[in-house]
Amino acid sequence: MKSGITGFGVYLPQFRITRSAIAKAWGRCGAAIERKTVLGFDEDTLTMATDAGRTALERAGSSQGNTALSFASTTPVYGERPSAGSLGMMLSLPDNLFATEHLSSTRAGTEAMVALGALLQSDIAENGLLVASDAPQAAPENPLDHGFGAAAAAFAFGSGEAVATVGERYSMVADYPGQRFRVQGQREVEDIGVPPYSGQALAQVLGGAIKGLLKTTGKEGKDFRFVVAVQPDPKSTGRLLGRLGFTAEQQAVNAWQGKVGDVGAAAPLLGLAEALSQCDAGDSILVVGYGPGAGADAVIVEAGPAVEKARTWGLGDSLEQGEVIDYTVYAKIRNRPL
Amino acid sequence: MGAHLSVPMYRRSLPQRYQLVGARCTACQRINFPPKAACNYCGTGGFEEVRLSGRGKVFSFTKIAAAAAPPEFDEDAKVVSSFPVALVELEEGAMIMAHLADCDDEDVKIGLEVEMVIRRIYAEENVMRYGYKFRPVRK
Repeated sequence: MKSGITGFGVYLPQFRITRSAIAKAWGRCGAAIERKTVLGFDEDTLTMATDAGRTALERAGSSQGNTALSFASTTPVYGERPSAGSLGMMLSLPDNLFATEHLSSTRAGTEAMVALGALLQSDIAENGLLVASDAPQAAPENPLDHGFGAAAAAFAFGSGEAVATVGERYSMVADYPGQRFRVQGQREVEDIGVPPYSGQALAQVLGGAIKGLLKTTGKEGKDFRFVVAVQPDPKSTGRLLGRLGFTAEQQAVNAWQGKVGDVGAAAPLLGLAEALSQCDAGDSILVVGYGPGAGADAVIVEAGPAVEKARTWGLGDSLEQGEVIDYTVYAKIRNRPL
Repeated sequence: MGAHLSVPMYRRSLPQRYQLVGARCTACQRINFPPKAACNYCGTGGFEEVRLSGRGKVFSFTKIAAAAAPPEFDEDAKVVSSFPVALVELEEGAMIMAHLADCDDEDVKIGLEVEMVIRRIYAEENVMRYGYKFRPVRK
């Protein structure tokens, strides 16, 4: 793997809404969050992607041509329009870049990371930018929506001093209808809401991906400093991880979700950013992406010699900062036409 | 209807809206933003393109009530009741007028350090128009 992660950035919108504001509107808050992020009235997944991407590129330093861009989101602004055209120009990327878009599932973040890695290894590109940016929505009365937030994370890849490198992977797919889906033209995600059924899918697919990775690489759970996994929700995933032998210390890196919310495809990459900001060189991180319905990737990321640079690159103070809005403003933003 | 900037005209201004491309006058060295045919300061016509950093300070500001804003901002006006607009003096010396983002009215002061961000400005016929705004520098 010649290209490593040379810089990364995370972006949280300014607006926040609290658990109590949601509970006041609906009688209870159906998600295990303290507070969460909300897109501003002048923001969308493209503007968030630009912010995180710019930070990642600045931290990586200059890069030459021959670039690939991998963008991941379950909520791109348009159903059909190349995000790369806008992103490429907003980030001043070379115009001959090769771009991939990863949509349709909250697994898209790890899917994009693996795809970009493959592009870099195959010499389609020397430099890469991975951006995941998401702002999922469900019907306001659906407890699923109570936990949905907004965020973006971006990772620049190049041949400079590596902050981290992406390594082995194991993936699983299976058909589980009725799990977190959205029909074309609909903005709101639905789910049949049967916890034992979701649990079965999770154990088979997410659990299967982790077990497959451990088996094929010969590694054990204890070899990892952190396990980044918050999908479909930290509670059910946390329980599964516990059954697989991962400790509370290894999972502690996932706590940010309680202050940000479910950020769809961006979740594993935000988690990776948090983990790297706490790692020492040589630490291994297990990053798991999961898309209900279902698919999972379990990917190993190793902290490189330059990981010290990343100490201030995680979510940091932004978790506690922000401007708290009330439910009325939240509802108006959720309701806008485009 | 509001100002109605056609899509091709909007597209021609993307180097300014996305990348803050200005023009340094080769005669007097001052930065013109947006670029024009003749230098705003000395009147001559030779330029070199320069991408501005996006860092600057609030030189002056006002608050435009949503009811007084152009109809392009009707959607935003459903969420906020006014728009802070500032003249930002960029570190290269050029002056830009722009909306401020991510700050309350009380936080806006002359001298406030700001940085450029790209945000939705407005949509017309389902074509989203993006461009620059300035927010207080995030530490």
